[in-house]
Amino acid sequence: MEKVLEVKNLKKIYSIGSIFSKVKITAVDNVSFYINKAETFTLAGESGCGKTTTAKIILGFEEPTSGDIIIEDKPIQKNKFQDFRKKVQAVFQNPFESFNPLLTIDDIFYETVFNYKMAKNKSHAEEIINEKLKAVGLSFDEINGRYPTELSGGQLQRASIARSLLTNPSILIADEPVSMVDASLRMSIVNLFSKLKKETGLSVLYITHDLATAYYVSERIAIMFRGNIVEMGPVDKVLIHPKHPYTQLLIESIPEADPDKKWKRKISIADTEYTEYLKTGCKFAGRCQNVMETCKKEEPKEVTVDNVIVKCHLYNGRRA
Amino acid sequence: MKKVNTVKSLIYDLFKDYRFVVAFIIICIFILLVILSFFSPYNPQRMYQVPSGLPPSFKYPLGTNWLGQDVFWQLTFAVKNSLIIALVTAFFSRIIAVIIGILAGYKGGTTDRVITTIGDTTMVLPFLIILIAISMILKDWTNNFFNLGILLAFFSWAWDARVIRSQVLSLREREFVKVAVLSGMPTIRIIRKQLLPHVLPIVFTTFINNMSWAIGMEITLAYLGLGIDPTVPTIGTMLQTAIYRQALFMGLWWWLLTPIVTAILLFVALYWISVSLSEYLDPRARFQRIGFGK
Repeated sequence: MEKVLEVKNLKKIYSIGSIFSKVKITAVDNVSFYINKAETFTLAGESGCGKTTTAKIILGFEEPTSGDIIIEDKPIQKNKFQDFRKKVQAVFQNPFESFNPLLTIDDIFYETVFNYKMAKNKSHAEEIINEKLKAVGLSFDEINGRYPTELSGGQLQRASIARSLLTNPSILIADEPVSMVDASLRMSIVNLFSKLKKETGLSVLYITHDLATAYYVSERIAIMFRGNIVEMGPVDKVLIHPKHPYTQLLIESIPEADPDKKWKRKISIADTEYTEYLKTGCKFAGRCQNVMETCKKEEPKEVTVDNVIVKCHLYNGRRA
Repeated sequence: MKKVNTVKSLIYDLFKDYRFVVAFIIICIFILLVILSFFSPYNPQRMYQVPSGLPPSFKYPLGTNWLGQDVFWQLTFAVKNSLIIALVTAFFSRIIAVIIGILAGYKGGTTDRVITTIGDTTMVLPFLIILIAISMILKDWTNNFFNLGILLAFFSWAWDARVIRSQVLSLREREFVKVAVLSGMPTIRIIRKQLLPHVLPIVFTTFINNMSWAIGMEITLAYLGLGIDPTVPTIGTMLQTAIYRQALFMGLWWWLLTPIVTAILLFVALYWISVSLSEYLDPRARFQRIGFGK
């Protein structure tokens, strides 16, 4: 299968503090993954685990410390940035923030079309815009001359998706696209991604902390923890039979709508985000139930168990 | 149609504030004086055109001074000239502040650090002493409105550049700016179209503050006998001439009081306009004053 996006050994180090007490935090640590054509790949994990930083690096908003990003077998070139921007588009979390409150919504649509030289005149541009808006279930009249405050969150998020589709991108980066819209709209937007995938062969990098929609929409999933991908594989294997203790913890923390069922494990937050980032060895050792002596000293290696890549000492001796 | 309504409601909200109304009326009177200066029967720099030392009367509304000049018509020129200096200062310092503030905020990193350091340095300079020194050394250069305005502008951009920078720093992280980048907009257009409209309110309010600062500085310099040529009427030179010619001892109180009252009224009006504008632009302060029920 054709790889649309490949991320190789991506690393991002932030320096915190003044000259005298500099602390280096590895926000993204040797992250590698790929996304096939017409595939939805989920990057999941708790807040501050580095998933948004990864997305920012792929979009070119942040410079990686090291590592490569390869789009359609070509590494990103600085001088051809405009071509690259055309291929990688994004949808952001907050639909109310995605449009400038002082400009009408159609403005950014025209900007996108004309900046990438996709249309020669206004009527041709309007045709392209209308086509994409129809794909997300809106029409041009609904956004023409309107300000963002005049539309609902769901409409705005659809419009935001339509805008990102204008350039016919090969990959769409969706950074928590449903966490700000309410539950009923969440489904319609998730379904929209599936529909677009089927109809146009769109690949999506779906970043979320909501495992339910991740399970519903994606083929493969990667669980991130403190800058590392701790488990990666097909979504039904990772989420139904989680291997890494952190994935198990994540799945157990999904509340069920049943008053008789109590949360089995008490979730303890022993360390702060900051201290966890600075840990040597496995970063999860402070919270893990199956913690061993080696976990605190050595960083675990990636092991393939049952088609799933796991980064945990528990599976070190075993080979599938 | 929508634009008209916003303007209507803006004016309606602003005129609810008595301070804005008072300030607006005062400014209107001053503008009227400026217009009148073009129809003055006298040349402001010539002396002994009218009997000297007359108290206010119907013929001479604000009396005449010891130099044989009609104080009222002098005042019209003084207001005009002081406002020209203020406008030149505010205009140029705003241009510097906007360019530098946006550049520092949007570029970030080393650019930001260099610019902020320059700005901070300008801010901590003892500008009054430097202004006095410069206008003493370059007496011929600083005695016209334009040059003095530019000189004052150089000392007043740093504070507001800082404010604009901090605003842009937070705007830069907002999602719509990222979307604009993804839509392929060049940086210059992003700044002009996406950032500048958000920064303009600050530019307006600081413009007015800067004007009153410039008027004050002009008065200070003129009082020390520096800056504008003393025979050209500004609020500062009027005051300086009145004090220098001992108006108080001669009992010509109208000569001395006219520039003082004018300066106070101008400061109050500009201050109230800037306060009511910035209060209007800051939603939290606006809600405190006019309530949530609107």
